[in-house]
Amino acid sequence: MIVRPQAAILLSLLGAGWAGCHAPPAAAFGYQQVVEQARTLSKSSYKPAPPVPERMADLTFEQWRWIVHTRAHALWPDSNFQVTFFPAGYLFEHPVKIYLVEDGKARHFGFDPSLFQYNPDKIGGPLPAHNGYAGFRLLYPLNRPETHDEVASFLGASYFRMLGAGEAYGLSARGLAIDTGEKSGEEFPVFRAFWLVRPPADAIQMTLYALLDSESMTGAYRFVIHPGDNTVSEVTATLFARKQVKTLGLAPLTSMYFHGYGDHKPERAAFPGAHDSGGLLIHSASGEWIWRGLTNPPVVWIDHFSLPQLRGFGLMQRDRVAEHYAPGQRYAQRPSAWIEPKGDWGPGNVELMQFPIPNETVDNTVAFWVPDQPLTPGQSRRLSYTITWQAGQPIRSPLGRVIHTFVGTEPEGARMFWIDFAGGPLAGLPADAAIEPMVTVQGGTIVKQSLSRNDKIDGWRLAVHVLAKDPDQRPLLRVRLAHDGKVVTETWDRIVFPR
Amino acid sequence: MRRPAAVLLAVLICPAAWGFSYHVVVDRARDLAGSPYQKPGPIPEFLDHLDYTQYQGVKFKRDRALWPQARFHVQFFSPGYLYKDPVQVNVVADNDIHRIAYDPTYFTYPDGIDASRIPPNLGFAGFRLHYDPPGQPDDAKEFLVFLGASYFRGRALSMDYGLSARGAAIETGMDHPEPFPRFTEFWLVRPAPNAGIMTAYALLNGSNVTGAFRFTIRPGQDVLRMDVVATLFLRREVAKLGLAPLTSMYFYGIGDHRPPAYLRPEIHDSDGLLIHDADNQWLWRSLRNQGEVTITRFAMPTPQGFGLLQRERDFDNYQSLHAHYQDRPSLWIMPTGDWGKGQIELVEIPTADEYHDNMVAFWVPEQSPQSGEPLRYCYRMVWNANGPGSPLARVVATRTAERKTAKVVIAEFAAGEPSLTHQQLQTDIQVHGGKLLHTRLRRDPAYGVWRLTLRILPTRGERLRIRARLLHDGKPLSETWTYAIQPPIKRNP
Repeated sequence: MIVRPQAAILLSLLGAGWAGCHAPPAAAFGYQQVVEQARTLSKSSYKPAPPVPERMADLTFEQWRWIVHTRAHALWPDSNFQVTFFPAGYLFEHPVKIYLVEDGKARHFGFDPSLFQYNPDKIGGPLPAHNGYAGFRLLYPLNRPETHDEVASFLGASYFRMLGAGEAYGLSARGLAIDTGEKSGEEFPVFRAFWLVRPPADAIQMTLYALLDSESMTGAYRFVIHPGDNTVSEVTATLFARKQVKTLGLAPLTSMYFHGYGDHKPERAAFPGAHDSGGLLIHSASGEWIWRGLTNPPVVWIDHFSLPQLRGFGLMQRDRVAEHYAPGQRYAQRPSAWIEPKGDWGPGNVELMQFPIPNETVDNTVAFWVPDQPLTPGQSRRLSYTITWQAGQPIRSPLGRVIHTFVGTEPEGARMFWIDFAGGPLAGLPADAAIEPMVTVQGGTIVKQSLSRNDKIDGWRLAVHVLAKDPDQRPLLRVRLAHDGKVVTETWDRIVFPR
Repeated sequence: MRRPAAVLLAVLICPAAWGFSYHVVVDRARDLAGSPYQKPGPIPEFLDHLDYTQYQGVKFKRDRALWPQARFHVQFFSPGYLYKDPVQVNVVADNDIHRIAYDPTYFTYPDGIDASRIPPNLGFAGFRLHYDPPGQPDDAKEFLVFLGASYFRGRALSMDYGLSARGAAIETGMDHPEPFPRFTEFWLVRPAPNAGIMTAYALLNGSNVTGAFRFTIRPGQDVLRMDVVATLFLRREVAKLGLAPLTSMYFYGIGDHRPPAYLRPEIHDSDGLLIHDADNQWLWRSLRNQGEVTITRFAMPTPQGFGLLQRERDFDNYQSLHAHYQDRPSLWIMPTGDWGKGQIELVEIPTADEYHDNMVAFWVPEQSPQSGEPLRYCYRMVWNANGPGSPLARVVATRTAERKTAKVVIAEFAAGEPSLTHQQLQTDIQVHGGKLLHTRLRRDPAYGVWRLTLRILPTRGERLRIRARLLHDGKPLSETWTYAIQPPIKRNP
């Protein structure tokens, strides 16, 4: 049964709250209660929620997606924020518990089949009475005052995604990534319960809590969501370790890069680009901005960007030109997501994992922060950060930016790159300004390098041809521009794969 | 150079009464056709052997240009490198013809060229015209070049050079090497100081053909117009006579898969052949660079116009900081009067770089003249950005992709009429050499196009030919788009 263990936890949490806090006995339900639940949960071993009935798990995506909780029947119909639910089923076979928090009290919101419109003949009968929810969407008048559009969705494992105004869903975030890219296999923590705090009717922000659970970790999450041109989600997570993990991935982002405007398109593609994110941007405490253009690599590839302290990182969809993408997918409107820690996360590294995909339907890019300091069993850690979802460039660095990267291969095997830089201190410089390329390569040789003024972008184009020292090497190429001895651009950074 | 006696006599006998006229050149061409073809003599070896860089170093001195007081100015090219056949240039002024002799003081020469060794009466390789637009004196812009064989290329003053034209194309795209007739002599009529029009005459000579050309030249900021009168004489029967030939380059485009060593999205001087036929149909053939020489023929009565166009005008799709492909002109040919029946022929030759012209289009008349009989025809050439601007939805892109066995071919038409939906349109699609598996028409507001997507199973070993257009209320809404894909070349292992 689904209900009992959760109810037990809730009871124990309430008990802990009353016993251990200075708050008055009638304390409103809040984040601390979820934290105590996560702490309690971490002391017992992991038990996944029981799955839905088999016939629901056997549904195809097409069958499942037509079981619809329509906007017309959304929760809180007279409010700015409204909620619709996804039914458990298909791949989402472990239901999540939903609680509504109103007037300081949390109330279980049981599964209600009547919320959904569907054709029972298409799914082998009516929805089971206790089927459960897979997740939910938040609606908000994001684009027009009179229309409730989707602003966020929480669905599957610890995945969630959000939108700024005028955007279309692209990359996703997760609560936590555990052992991603490890040979022993990745662990996918799940949000197993959510508490949706009912906001006032005219609210412009909304709070929800989530309880995370996995073999190795539990966690309590608070999301405060501010929809807008930039939809900002403030995240607080309190993690409890059951077991030692190899890679603790904080603030993970998941995206897709198949091919882009500057690449050679695959045989099956008729249009220049297909990607949800074009690059990984990192802002280190030293003031450096690193731009790593994404690729569809020939092999699984993991990079570590080691930093003494993180100011921010994100997966960016910088190229906003519709004609650079396959049509109908709104790739030019996919949001970027920028992670900014609150407080000092200490030393660690941004890990980027990419793997080869045969088409654009599979995510192949993951980025997250791995703190140097591990979390040992029994320990807990609290961290806070914001995720900004918006068009193009959430954070405008003061430096010149990478506008485009064009790639090619010399007949002799050297990889060719053209990197277009513009903006920041480059803007308005005369064409004969003393711009100096700063190029470094590890594991390879620069066989050609030339810098050209690019009037079309009020910037410069650097051409670099790199030959690997030997065929097994994957050179690391880093490029930036200086003016009068001062760095004036981001660092363009690339692993050079053979073609 | 020898000057045929007939013309000299004519000029000597009645200069005042005759002056100089087109008939003089026609008579020269007729006489020339009646005598055996003579190859031009060689130029001195030290000029013959110039490489590209050395040749670029031979520069005409700007202040020696003809007609400093007029809006038109003429500069000359010195023979050498690829341009080994000297031409004679005459100026017609005040009812007088005088030959412009090669003068080493016209040029600066790079180190290694001893100007004192240049023989007298060398002749030029060709010439170019500059023009001062009204109100912009001393801002002479180059807009027309005659250089090499019968090649010339022009541009609107605001544009760049791109494709070329020729006087005539003889037996192009056949199994034997193409004979290239050449302009051997020019007569430039000195324009009045304020004139915006000038006239040039040219004598064509080749092993199979001679001809007389008159060019009336009207430069402009956005368009260069040239009215051409041509008279050809065949020395012998010609297997294929190409009139008003255009020569261009198409390496690859947005719909192709670009070669590994290239980083730019598109490289071409022209992206399509447009035909406006006598029945008012507009036909667009997207160009393609594929594995073997491809000849496509469009048989019809005299068309209203045809030309090679450069429709893609966005730097974003070229990304060359030097070549300015987005600024290269289209060239539109409008026959004047009736050319009779014939066919427009498009010859597509494979190329592996952007430095070789590989696209040729011309008119082949059904009836070739008998040798000795003149073939007289006239046409207007329009060098501008977008060609004639058809009233129908223009083809703006052709794209291709591969599926396991099928091909996806996409035609994009510029979408006007925002009120129309795809349900209101009909498609007229013909596929030869393959089976049409799937058709989809959608309007794409993000691209501003109607997109017609075809999935086709090509017949093995056959050339795939496609023709499609959009209809509304039974009337054509779009140009007729055509495309051809060669089967993969079988290579012996």
